[in-house]
Amino acid sequence: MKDEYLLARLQRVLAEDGSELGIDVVRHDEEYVLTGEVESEQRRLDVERRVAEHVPEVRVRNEIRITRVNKPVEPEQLAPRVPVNGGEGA
Amino acid sequence: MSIRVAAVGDVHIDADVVGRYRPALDDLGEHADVLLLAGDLTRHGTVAEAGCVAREFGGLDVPVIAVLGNHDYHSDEVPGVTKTLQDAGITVLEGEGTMVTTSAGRLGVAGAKGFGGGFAGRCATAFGEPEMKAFVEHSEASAAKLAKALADLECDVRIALTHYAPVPDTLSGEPLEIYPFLGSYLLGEAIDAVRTQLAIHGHAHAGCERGMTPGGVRVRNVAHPVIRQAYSVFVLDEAC
Repeated sequence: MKDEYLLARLQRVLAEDGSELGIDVVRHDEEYVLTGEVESEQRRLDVERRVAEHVPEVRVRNEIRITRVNKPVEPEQLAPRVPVNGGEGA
Repeated sequence: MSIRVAAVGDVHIDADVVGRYRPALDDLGEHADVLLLAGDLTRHGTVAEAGCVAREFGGLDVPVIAVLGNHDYHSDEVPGVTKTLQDAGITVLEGEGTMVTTSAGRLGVAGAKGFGGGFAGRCATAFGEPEMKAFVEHSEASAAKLAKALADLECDVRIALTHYAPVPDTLSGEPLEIYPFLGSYLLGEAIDAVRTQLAIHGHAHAGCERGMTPGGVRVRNVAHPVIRQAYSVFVLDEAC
């Protein structure tokens, strides 16, 4: 199967079977590189496993990150805005 | 006096995530007056996953207001998902508004999931196959519900909460080809129809945080992979 179709199929598998829509799969030389963010280590490994199952002959490099859940450093201050169009319409 | 709004979306909670957010949430009342959840609360939209969301985001010391996202519809268990969240004290909006009284004034939040369709000049139209008409009509109906919910709010500060994006600004970083699946200008038009101070959405994991509607309403994409923290806080002056 041509790489383009295989990559398309992989992304559908990840979305439809694994519910992971934000993962990029890119072929670099002799390996597939996975990037994106997920919510847990288990999901990071699940994505790698699913991809490896579909391309057992190619090495998979997992660069997926787990999204941080720390408190925000500072709030965003939203300054008062001047109404436009002279009135109620925002 | 100011109103402090915490928000996050696309948390995709399942059993493997329970407990991750909680340490950042336990003293939320010190930092915010309300927490908004911008959809995709679950992975597959099951009642069991909603139970995990309820454990993670229920029982906080501030009101929690949510809309559902496309993931939350995946298993066709929306009534059960909604009830599970409501039983945990989370307000779930779909074409409705709710009010929160704060020391700085009455905050009104109108929410709807929204849908895709694309943006002005490059959008889908209700023409041709029934499937295409159904796609566009769902988007139109969701935007109309949001518009009515916003207009019905009588409050000092008005916020629109959706899962899908109301503007293309906050999609920057996503492939242009998928913009029509990420949001609709009809949502932006609904937000601009009444005086709205802030629009919060999620869904676009590879997008960016900040945008603005054509009418000047600030738009914030709070998808968790975008904000990369447990939640963001926006401080609104009551007169803004």
